[in-house]
Amino acid sequence: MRKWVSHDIDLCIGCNRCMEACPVTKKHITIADLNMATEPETEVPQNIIDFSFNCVQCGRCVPVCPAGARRDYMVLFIKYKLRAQKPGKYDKYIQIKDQDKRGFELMKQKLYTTYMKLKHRDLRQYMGSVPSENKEILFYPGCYINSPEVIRRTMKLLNFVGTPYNILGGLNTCCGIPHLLIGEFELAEKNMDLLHAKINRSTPKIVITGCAECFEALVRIKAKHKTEYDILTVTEFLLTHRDKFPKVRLRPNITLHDSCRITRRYNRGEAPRKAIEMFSKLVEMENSREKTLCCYYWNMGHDGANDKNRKKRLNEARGKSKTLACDCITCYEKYVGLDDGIEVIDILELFEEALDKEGGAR
Amino acid sequence: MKYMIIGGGCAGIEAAREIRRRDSEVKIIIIDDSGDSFIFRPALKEYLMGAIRKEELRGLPAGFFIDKRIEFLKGTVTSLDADKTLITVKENGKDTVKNYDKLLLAHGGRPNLPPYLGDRDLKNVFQFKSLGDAESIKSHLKTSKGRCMVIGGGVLGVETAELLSRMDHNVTLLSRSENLVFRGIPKRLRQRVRNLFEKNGVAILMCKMVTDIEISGDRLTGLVLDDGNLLEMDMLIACTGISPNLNLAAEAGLEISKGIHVDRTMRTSRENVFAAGDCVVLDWSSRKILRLWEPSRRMGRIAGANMTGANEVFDPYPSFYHTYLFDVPLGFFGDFDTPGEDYDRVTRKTDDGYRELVIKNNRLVGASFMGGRPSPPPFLHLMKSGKKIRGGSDSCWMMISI
Repeated sequence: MRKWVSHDIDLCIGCNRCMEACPVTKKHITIADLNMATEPETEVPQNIIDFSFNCVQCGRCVPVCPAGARRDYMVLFIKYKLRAQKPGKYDKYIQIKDQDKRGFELMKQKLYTTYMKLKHRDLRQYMGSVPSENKEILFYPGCYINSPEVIRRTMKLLNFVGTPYNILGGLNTCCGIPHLLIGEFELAEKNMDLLHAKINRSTPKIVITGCAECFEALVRIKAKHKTEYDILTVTEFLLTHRDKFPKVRLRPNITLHDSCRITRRYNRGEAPRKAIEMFSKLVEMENSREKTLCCYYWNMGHDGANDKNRKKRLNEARGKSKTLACDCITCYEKYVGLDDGIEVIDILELFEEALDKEGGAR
Repeated sequence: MKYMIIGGGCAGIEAAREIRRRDSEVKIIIIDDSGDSFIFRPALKEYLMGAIRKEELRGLPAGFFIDKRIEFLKGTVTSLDADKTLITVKENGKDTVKNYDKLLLAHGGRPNLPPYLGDRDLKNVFQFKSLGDAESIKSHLKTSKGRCMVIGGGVLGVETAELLSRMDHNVTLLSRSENLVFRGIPKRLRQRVRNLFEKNGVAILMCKMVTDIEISGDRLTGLVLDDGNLLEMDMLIACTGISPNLNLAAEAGLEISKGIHVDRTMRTSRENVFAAGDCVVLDWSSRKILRLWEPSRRMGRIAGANMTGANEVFDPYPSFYHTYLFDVPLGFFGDFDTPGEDYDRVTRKTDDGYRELVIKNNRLVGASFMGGRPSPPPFLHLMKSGKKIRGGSDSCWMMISI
């Protein structure tokens, strides 16, 4: 990493396009300061510390760089340098997500899990247990199993498709990306290795997830351990069974919010588009595909500023359609309920509504 | 110990930093004739377009020279005596003689002017290298309405033509040879670059020589080509390459040809004299001249390390150039142009782009692409690692697309 980063600093020609593209609010940061702070042995000034902890690794700086440098990795490296002195709120955040906890922290997590299990009794069996039965498909929701509506919806659709599946979820199956985002490389690596072992117990052929962060973690695990299973988003998986779904028109038109990881980084933006075309008409926003904007889920610093930016995005969507669909569950959670003027849906809702409509007609 | 560095560009600054990193006591002096401290020179394009301000061009944080205890001297080095380890510096019109223990020549080069312009002082003929050049082009463009002529089809010429066209000027690019961007660019890629420019309203004239010029007052108004056509114009930007400054090296008796000869450790033929950046030529490598940003910085760093007694080696491979022309990515890696029979060329056309790989003995040695969404690191990684590609070219594509 160190070698790559210093190579990237050499590549930088100072054109400032990455900073222009960056969605994070930043004050008085020049490329010169940033490059200097990225070097392994230099000290990081306060304004760069603030900036780098606000960075959400959305990757908007990458496709604009004329020299082909990876500014996202460079900022990640600054975070790695700073991991000993990150602000308290990040520390607290990461402790909840750590897989391998001891003592008081373990107790706290158990209490939280018990509370969630009591609250959502029907999902109890999936929280924290590792499936060992061999089934073709593994649905991996990770920590978003604590958003039960989405899980119930996904399960309903998977049941409809009919392929047998396992569920791997719960706080102690964290994918490790949250750690990566704040520069805790070792913890992230450890969590990914643990997750790899947990997935392998049921030897799936396909692993599906609806979260962009989990998706990225799975891709990284696949590259590291050379695993054999395919990785699909839930939408992509449902599209492989598209013939089973009834063909109904649901809304006049729908616009799509692309995910930073699934679409921009891994170029898998076709599936949500096809899904929307199945049930409605797609209207593209100007900032779509690799130009997509960030939902700021992982920017834990400035909630006021983040909400402002999110509202800006919703305004852009409102100009195109009355409905905004999200492919990634983190984006969905951040946008839903924020603005009354626009309906925000998860793409899976379309599949579900189609089923309900068809069921009613029968 | 006294380290002298002639030239405060990227190679010189990197060398000074490396020396300071390795030794906190020694005296480091940078002598530069412009007086501007180090700027991001490739970003002058953005500056000209108005996308960034002057402060953002600065390549170094404020207070850098004081922090690192590096002396920055504005002056011109007029002579070099390698036997007595002495240099003569002209500061404020006065000559002073200084001695050195180790010397680095990182004074880069001077942009060429086309020979047909002679040494006339023409008001609407520009070069594009320094901040001053950018300022004068900027002020001329404010009033200019007519045709902008860009001479030279190399990297700088192509980028300048793209820039002016994006600023809504009427641009014509004139190239002496049939190549665009780089010598040896694959034919189909060249055609694509050409189409791209023509689609965006830039006229490209290739294989044309200028036989005569028209001048009115102190302005250049037209070029007469060898096919008899007259090209009228309002301004001309010469992007016809860079000639290294060789006066000092010649005087000191260093080995020179198209640049200062250096070995793999950036040492010249004289003891205690090093060279790095645009002024060197690597006669031991198949890629002799690398006048690009990233290799210059790397060369500077290696020269700096070796000046303090280390023995690091500069590896010009895989050399790499990547840019955006009208938002379309364009990239060249390694030996993309190598002719010969034992090289295997594999091309692939995608809906939005074109890629070409050069494979030798089942190893990837070069690549070029345009369009699509390729990212440079996998290409570089695969080339650097020297991995064998089993199963033909398809597996090579697989390895790159992860």
